[in-house]
Amino acid sequence: MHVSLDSALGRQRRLNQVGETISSIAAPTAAYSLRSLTGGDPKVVRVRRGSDNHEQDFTSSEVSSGALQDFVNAQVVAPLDIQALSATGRDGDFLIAKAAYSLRSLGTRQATLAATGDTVARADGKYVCQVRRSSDDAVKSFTATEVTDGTLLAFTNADYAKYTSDFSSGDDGWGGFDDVTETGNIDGIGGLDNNLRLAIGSVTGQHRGYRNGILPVNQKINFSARVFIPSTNSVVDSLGIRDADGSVIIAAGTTPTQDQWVTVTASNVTTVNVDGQLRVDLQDGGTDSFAGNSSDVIYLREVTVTQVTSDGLVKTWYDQSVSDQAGSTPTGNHATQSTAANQPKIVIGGNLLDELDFDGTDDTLDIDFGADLSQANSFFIVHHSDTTTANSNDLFDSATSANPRTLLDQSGSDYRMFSGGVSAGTGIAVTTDKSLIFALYNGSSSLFAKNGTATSALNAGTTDIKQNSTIGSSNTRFYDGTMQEFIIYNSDQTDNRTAIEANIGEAYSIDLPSGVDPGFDQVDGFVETWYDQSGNGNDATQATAANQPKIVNAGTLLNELDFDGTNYFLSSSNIGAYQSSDGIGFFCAYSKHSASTSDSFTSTNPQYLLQLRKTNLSNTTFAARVLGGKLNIIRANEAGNNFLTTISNAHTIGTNLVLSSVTGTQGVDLFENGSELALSTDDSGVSFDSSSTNLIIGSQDEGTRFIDGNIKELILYTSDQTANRVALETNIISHYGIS
Amino acid sequence: MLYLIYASKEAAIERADEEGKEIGFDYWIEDNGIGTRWLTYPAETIDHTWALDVTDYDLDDSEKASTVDYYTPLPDPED
Repeated sequence: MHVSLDSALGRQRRLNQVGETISSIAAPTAAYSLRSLTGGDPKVVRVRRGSDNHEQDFTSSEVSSGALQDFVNAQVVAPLDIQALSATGRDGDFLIAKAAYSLRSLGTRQATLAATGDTVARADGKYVCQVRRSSDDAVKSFTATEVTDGTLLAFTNADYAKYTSDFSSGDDGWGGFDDVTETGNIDGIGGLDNNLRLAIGSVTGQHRGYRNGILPVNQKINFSARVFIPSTNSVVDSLGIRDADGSVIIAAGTTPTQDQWVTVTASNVTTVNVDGQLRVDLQDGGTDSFAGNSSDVIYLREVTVTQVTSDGLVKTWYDQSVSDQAGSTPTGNHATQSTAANQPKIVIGGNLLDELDFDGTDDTLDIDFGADLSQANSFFIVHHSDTTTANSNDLFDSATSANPRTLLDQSGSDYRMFSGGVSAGTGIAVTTDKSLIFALYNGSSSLFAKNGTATSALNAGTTDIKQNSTIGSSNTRFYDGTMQEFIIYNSDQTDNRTAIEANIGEAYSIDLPSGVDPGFDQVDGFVETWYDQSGNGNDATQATAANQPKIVNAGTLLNELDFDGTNYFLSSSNIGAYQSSDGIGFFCAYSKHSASTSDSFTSTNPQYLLQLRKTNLSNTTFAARVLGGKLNIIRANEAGNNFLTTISNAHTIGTNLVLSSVTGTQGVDLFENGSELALSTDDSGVSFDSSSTNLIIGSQDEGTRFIDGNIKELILYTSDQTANRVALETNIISHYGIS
Repeated sequence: MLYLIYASKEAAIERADEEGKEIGFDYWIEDNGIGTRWLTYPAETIDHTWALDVTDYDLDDSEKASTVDYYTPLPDPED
């Protein structure tokens, strides 16, 4: 480390030390920048992007790496809302899909649909899927929001009374293994009638009663039963209840008090037996196997099984597309499956998948396009294969492989495009991860792309898509994997491929090649918070969108905050105490937009770089301003008495400057790029003490005299920084390459 | 520009809040008190009412009939 002689002698240091930071030179009261002022990688800014108002925090390294700019430019225009490119941008006709399936909304132009076939009638809505629950086959349609907000799961996991015993006229279908004999309609046990009796014989071994078909498979249940064990028993004193695969419902060794009805319960038990068989093990001291005495019994009544989870199966994957530019006419090419066993799952065992799961055995969806679709045809598919087995990746084909057909499947290890007897291997391997597929069927100009990377031209034949086609199967071969999105255009979408892929990639976190979407990289980004790096928490914020300074302009990172001179400012409600006698250190990297040569005071002159005022009062106590295009400092007291510095040099428009001022009890010294502009002596006698201080960047009183320029960095000390001024200026000037 | 004039700052902010919720600004989505809250914020007029810039608001018919295209702001603070 180099320490200058001046520093060693207690004078101003003239050179920065290696690795020296602003905070290591002197700890600021508030410090705002897009670079790190601390040597670490602090959070520096919170940005709102203009396209969808989404906000995100960024560290200094994320600003410099391009992550901030990428965030602002993310393609948030969903497929149904994308317009064709014209000479003036993406403002041509909307791209019209032939069918568009997803569980997310594919745009504001999503079709409004009737929930035809729902068990309980619903009003028309922007539905994405129609789901059948496995417990009772009820059917309901859901919007994209309802898929994710818990509405869908509330439907599939609604309590379902799977079984309630009734022993009033017999054994209600119960049976006995080993030597157990079941008898229903037993009266007068513990004062209650209509009970089931399980009586043991003389066998040495297990003694079990059972009932088939009362437990769901791979679902959770709540269970309840009342048990009576008479004290006349000499062996049977306990029991256990489970399914036929051993899933414990009531633990073995449960020993109810004898000669009274005791309720045993269980919650959220997953049962798995395919026959839904429940078994009751009669036990001796918790042991299953014992010698029967041909006389012991137990009684059961009020056995209930409540299913609390279900599978959700997709009966209809709604076509979200519209067929007209007005967006008012649903295309209606829904993908459907009326056979329960062939429906792909969206909920398994009570857990939402957020995708459609095709089992590779018989799951498939049928589409009726109304007519064959002649080429060109474009597909965008997001899927996740469970296997790379060629016979298990049949994504699309005509129904029963009838001609004409357009097939997309796997051949060898790669995706294959096929139509009219002409097959094109893509050379792109099927993998077991989430993949975004583009397939253009257009004769010898066909194309295939995976995750945004396209092949050269392929010849995939010239045949139409068959009117009746399928998703997830090719005749007797079935897709084994999940599907998230499936969009078909009866047109060549090569020119729009990257725009569509960019949005899909964003939605599913699929890594696409950089620069994938030049058509949309024109978004503005605005600063909601400029984080204080001092460690004092004096963040400068702006909660009103119309007043937020810009950091990304038309897709390009500015590397500074652009204040427009009419609306933009940031503020911190309280940076703590300010005492004018302690002095001020103000350092700012700034460039101005426009000339202002008048020294007259108007509504736009002077322009405020920084204002301090007592919280909840409008009187300035300290401000650094640009008056007539020149740096100007004002100190004031609560009574409105003030002291203004002598006007100094005018700034050059567009030139980066480091403006600074060190202020003591009376001396007010102004600097530009380290050179002194003016030294004033404040003998006005104004002084100000406040316990809480409002800081405003870019405006006076949060609403007038806005700064018209760019600020890269602003550092404030509520103390005289004469001793550190040169080191601080040198650091800032050096970083920004200002000469 | 179009403005709605409110008798109180609170009433103007209530309308700004309503619009901010409808737009879906981060403040309302995250429900954690941070992020953008308003599209525009009311400004005090010379007669101490509050003007809200509603040029880009989704107004109902009653509001549309009540808009004005200018207001007189408070005078500039003195130096």
